[in-house]
Amino acid sequence: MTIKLEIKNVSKKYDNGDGIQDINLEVQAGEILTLLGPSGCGKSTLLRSIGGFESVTEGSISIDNQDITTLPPEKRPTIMVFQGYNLWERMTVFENLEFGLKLRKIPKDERKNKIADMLEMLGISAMAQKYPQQLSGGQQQRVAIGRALVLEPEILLLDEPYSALDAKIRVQMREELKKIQQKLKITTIFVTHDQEEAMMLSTRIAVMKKGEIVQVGTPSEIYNSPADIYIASFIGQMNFLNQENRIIAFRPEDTEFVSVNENNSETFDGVIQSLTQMGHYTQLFVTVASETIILFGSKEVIEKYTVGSKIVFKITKKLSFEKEK
Amino acid sequence: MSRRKFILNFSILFIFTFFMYGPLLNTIMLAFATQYQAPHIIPSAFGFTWWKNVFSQGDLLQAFFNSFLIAILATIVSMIICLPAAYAIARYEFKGRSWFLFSFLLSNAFPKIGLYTAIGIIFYKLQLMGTLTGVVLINVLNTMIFMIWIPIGAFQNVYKQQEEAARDVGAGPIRTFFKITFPSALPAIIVAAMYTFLGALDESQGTLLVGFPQIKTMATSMYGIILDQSPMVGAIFAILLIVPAILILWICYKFLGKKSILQQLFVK
Repeated sequence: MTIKLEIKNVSKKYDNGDGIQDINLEVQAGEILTLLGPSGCGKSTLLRSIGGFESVTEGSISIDNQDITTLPPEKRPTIMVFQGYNLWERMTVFENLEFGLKLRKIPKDERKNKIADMLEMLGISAMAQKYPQQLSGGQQQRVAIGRALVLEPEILLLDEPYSALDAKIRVQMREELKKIQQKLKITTIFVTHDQEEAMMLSTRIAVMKKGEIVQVGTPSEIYNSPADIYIASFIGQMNFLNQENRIIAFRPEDTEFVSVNENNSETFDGVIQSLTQMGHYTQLFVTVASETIILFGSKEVIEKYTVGSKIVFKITKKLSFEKEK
Repeated sequence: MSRRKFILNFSILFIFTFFMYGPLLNTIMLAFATQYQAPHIIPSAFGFTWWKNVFSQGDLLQAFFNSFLIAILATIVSMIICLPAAYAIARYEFKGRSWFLFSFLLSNAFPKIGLYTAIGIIFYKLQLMGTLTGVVLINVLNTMIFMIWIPIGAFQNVYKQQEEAARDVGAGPIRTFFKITFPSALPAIIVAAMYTFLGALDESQGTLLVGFPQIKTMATSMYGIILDQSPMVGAIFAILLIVPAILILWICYKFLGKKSILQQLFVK
């Protein structure tokens, strides 16, 4: 594995105190790394710093061992797909893709071929002569990705590219992006606040909180061993139970329903508040002491239990965190 | 609608139309009159006699030419000075930004003649009195408000990310401005240029003070004509001034479309 992008001790402070602090990150060639976090956590600031749209206060950014910290966006080998696409509305789809190629002084015939191939790959060949306003959101999104990829950047930056699309198209676009990325092997940095999207797309995820990276790992590492309660609650469904001075956390699927309480620290009594058939599994809302948790059981569970009845369950896999003071 | 209301509405419309178009119609009528005596409303004879007279006066034709030269130069100079300023105001937050913007309104609220007197003193020192440069500068000053205010709105309407996207694919800041920002703001800039051009074409006070007697435009010549020559010459001159104005408005209308023009005038 070769390191494509190296971020060392990068900080960016805004006058209002927001920003990012002491970011260290290495991105491998050919991977999709997702910056995940709630809005205002600094993920977009970090991405814009990589793209050259924000000048960093401290630290260095290098691509292929070349320091690019002070270069303007036009001199960097990165291309960004913006939130809301930002196609140039006075240019046709073809011209949108051609603009960057022209600046790179690529001969006319070659430009035509490259653009035709790209539009073909994205399935929007018929749209070449249309203007962005005449396209649907999904099509505009494809053009925006095509405009970036046609320039064969070293690193593709995506800033919440699907936030303007409706749910169904979003899922479809994710699949497409993943396929294209696997085909082109292009190093990709993807910013999102949607944990599901991050889990689905990423080779690795960097979880951000208040301007810092709190954990970097593969989706399963992040899901199975979150570094703290914040990450645990942010990724996937997680239950928390207070136990003396600690908090134990477990996934709704990591439980077994048993008949007898063995009175150990893994087994709990609860009262069923609701039972819902979710298809191939049953979702139960259960109160333990005064806390409500969610459990998943097999689809047969709904026939064995009723609302209001007692349930005994054993946690098969749990995490334990110290209580935050 | 009741009869009474109808009569009332009609009278208001009639009075409004009369005040609006009456002077205009009278001017057109006078321009084609050969003989006219003050108390009469309708001239006693029509013809083109006075048109021949106007076109035979060499200095009037020179004024006609001057007017256009000054208007064109003023528009170009105004664009060169004001567009970068408008862009800066639209894009960057800086101390005193709103005060700076407001000051443009303020200079237009001043009684012009007072302003010109002060400018006159400076122009004398710089030896700009009676020169084309001086007259062009005065016209730029007068029309600056259009070239600043209208393009500011237009530049603000171009998303910053559109520019960032252009920088990202490899365009430098200047290329980005001319390829992305400028074309998007062009309709508004054309409207601003139209105002500047028409404003400069029509301007008389400043031009008279700074340019007299070396630089004469149609507008300044009007003063002399009204005092010395027959009213028909004045009317013909007014028409000569109004024709290019209507022509330019019509071209803008055709080129930009009705909707766009009204939008630039902040009419929804």
